[in-house]
Amino acid sequence: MRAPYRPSPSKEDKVDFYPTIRVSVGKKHAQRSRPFEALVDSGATICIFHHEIAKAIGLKIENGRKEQMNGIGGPQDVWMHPVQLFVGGELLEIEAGFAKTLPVAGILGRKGFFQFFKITFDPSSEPPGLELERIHKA
Amino acid sequence: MLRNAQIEARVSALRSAPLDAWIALSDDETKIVAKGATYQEVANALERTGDETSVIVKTPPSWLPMAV
Repeated sequence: MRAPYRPSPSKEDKVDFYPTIRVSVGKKHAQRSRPFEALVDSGATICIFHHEIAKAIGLKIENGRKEQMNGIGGPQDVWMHPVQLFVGGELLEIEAGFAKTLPVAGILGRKGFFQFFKITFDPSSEPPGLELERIHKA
Repeated sequence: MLRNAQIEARVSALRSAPLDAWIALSDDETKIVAKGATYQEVANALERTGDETSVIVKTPPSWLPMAV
């Protein structure tokens, strides 16, 4: 699956392009979220989603395991929950964090996302984009 | 693939969106079809119109280069 980087406004009249893809999140035998844009971030250790996504699928985030994660704004609390991550036609059973403050709906990190795909970032192509190839490790 | 017109339309739509809010973009990402203060408000709006193809986006507090 190839996905072009998505353009977003930046400061002044500039435009930045980000490696975002459409995903949805769900709980086993329960409702799943609407598709939303999530940032593919190789610098993130885990997948983190906005707490409003948790509410939408019936999770009470404080019932999860509380951990602290470092971000550019400093440490922040996240609550870990097992969820289903839907990416294209793939269903991934992962453990993800939910945070009360996040500037995007979701961040797809190494554990829970990169471990399932060979990912090629190609900012030199026109348009810039990323390529995801599902890998199945024994 | 996003064409230049789509890129311009998406950026223009995002610039017109409320900040630190939730919006839904049409499937081709050129226009806002729902907006709200919460994810659920936007999801409910899509539900009411039977929209199955739009994508939900969280807008940041301000449009700046992002490092998370």
